[in-house]
Amino acid sequence: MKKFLLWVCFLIFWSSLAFSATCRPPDLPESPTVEQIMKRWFDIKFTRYADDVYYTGQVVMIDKTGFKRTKKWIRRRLIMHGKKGVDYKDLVLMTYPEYTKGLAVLTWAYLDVRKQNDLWLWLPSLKKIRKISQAEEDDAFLGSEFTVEDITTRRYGYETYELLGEENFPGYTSRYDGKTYFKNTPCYKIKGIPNKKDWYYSYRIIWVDKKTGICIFDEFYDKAGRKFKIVFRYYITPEKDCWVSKIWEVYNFRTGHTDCIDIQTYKFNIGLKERHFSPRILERMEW
Amino acid sequence: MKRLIIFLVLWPIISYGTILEKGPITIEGYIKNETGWNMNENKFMKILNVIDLRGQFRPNDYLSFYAHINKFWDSAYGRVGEYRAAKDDMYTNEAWHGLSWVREMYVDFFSDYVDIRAGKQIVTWGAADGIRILDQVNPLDYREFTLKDWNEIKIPLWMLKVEVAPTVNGSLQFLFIPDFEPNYLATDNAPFAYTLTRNAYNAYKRLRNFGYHVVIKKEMPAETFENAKFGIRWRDVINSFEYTLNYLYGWNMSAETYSSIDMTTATGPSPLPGYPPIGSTYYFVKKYSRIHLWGFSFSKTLVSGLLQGLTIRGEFAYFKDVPMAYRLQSKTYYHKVDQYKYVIGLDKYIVTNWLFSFQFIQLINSKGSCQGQKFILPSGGTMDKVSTYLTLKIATDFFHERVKPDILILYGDDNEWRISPKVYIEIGDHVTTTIGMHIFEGDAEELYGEFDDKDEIYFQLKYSF
Repeated sequence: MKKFLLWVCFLIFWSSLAFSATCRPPDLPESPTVEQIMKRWFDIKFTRYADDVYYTGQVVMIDKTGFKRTKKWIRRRLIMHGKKGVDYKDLVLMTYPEYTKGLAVLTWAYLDVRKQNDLWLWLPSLKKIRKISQAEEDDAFLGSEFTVEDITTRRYGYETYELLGEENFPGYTSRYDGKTYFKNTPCYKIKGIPNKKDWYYSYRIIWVDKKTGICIFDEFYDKAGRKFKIVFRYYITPEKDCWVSKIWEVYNFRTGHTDCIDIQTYKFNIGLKERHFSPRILERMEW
Repeated sequence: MKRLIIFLVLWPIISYGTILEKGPITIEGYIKNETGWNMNENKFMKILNVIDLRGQFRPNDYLSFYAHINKFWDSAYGRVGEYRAAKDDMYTNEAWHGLSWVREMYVDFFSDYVDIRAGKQIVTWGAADGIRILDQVNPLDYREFTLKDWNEIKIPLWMLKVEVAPTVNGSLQFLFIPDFEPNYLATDNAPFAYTLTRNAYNAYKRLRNFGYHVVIKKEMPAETFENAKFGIRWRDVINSFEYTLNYLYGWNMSAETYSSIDMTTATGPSPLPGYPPIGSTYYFVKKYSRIHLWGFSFSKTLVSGLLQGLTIRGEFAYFKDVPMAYRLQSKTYYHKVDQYKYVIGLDKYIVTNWLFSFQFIQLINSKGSCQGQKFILPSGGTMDKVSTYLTLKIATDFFHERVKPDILILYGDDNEWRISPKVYIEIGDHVTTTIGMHIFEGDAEELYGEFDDKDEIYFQLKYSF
């Protein structure tokens, strides 16, 4: 009987370890392939290492004259770990400025990269839910220089990758906070070529931090081989705590426009359930 | 003086300049001016000033108190001669019975399985844009026809809404609505008064001029349990196919007007053969009838395949016992008919950020006429047994979504049109502006053609805080 109870205790302990929620990705292998690097990056991008995540943040849009606009939001994401073919379910609620407050978007993203996302929109001006088509992937995300693909849809399978080598990243000075990040950081330098023909970029150069495996910098090139856009990412990656995206910044050389997504607060594994991501939740909106 | 006091009370909040969030409390709002100009008659259609204030107290994730105040004044009613006559009818406490400045006020209780919202609120059903098929819970304020966002023209009702979610995506909604308000129609002389409304006012005026008494009574249903509206809706999402099944036991929100004559108050002879004696009293009693509504709606986005990105949506409603007016020998009668209404909509983004949204709408009466007389539209014309409307909306954005133009084109099968282009501009985090037009074309007896001489150009300026 004692042995049986010991077994039960061990099984409970083991299962709790097996399914315990984490908030940091597993380590990269010592000599990763380009596929391993990019797959792991997309796992980090979509926080697939966690069960759920709650963010508050803002998008600051700075035009070439320096004029700033700000949009704030709350985001809840449930990682479905492939259940029913779903990658994640996501709810974004705009909180600022007043004229966008209350606008909410519910997204169901699928693992199959050929499938578009399912989207529901809560429209405060109509006080109703609308099932909507996903915006084209080259459309601007929230009116920024990020595209819909940059933020929500680009996953492993969208591009073909080639490892160009290893190189120290020269550093990037943020137009948002003026700080210089990642100076002389050892990186994998990867070329990503979109699988779509005649896409809005012909390839991008991706700088992946060798230590963390995070894609810290992208350079987008057009058909003529001109660099037209850069994307910078800064994640908080403590030794023994949650990894979280802090800053995503984009700069477009053609328009002189900068946009920065700044995550201000975050919580991981707070026990969100799938029923928190149904259209019913959108009808809770007061605004 | 009252306006000054309200302004002074609101000034500290307005001058704060942004959404006020302190712990569980959020306060925000806007002030807005909307000015409309009649391009046919070269006169103002509105000079509307609005103060809107919303507040929320949310002590925890399960409980929330919300209030929304909206107060407006339309100065055009003081400036334009003919509107001045409408001012008393539209801007008095009696006229505002259903248009209280307390727009919404409710308490929410949220849980994983049950959500409860109790108080004055707006409930939306259906998937159609710009037309009401299933969306029959709240009455409408037709002060500006149906030109504004539905959120602004729906009249909120006191009700209890309970939403039970037995499955992950399925939920059953119960509505108990003891409150009754009818649709609010623009009165005679107002810019968007219907022909039938104008005719009725003219008739009252003529009768009074002859020396008759005219008494207009509204017999609104008493706010009792027996008279309450009840609604139920089941919604589910199966493999990204969303559908609802709906039932509403409600009231027809448009009045039937029954007339009668009391000759006991007569004071003289008949002025004309066939007319009652002078001094008689004409009673016009507005009554409301119970109706049943059954319906369903659906929406589905094709997420893969050839038609990827296309959203198909639709809704269907069957109305039982809707009283329809017809005229026989200069008198109005009512006959109850069943109605079938449906819409099929297709939405798709084409070329990056150009949204095309198309709708096919049909409104069908079970009978086309009664005693050989066709039923009457609010515009005074006769209604076809089957009416078909097509709508197309095209929307896009420029300059990092700071400039958002769109156009709505509506066509009715009696060759009537509404064309509404507009441009919305975000000037900063607090200031937005909209410039737009409403152009109507068609026969004066048709629903949209009636406003053929009411083509409007408008300008809105909004400061949010």
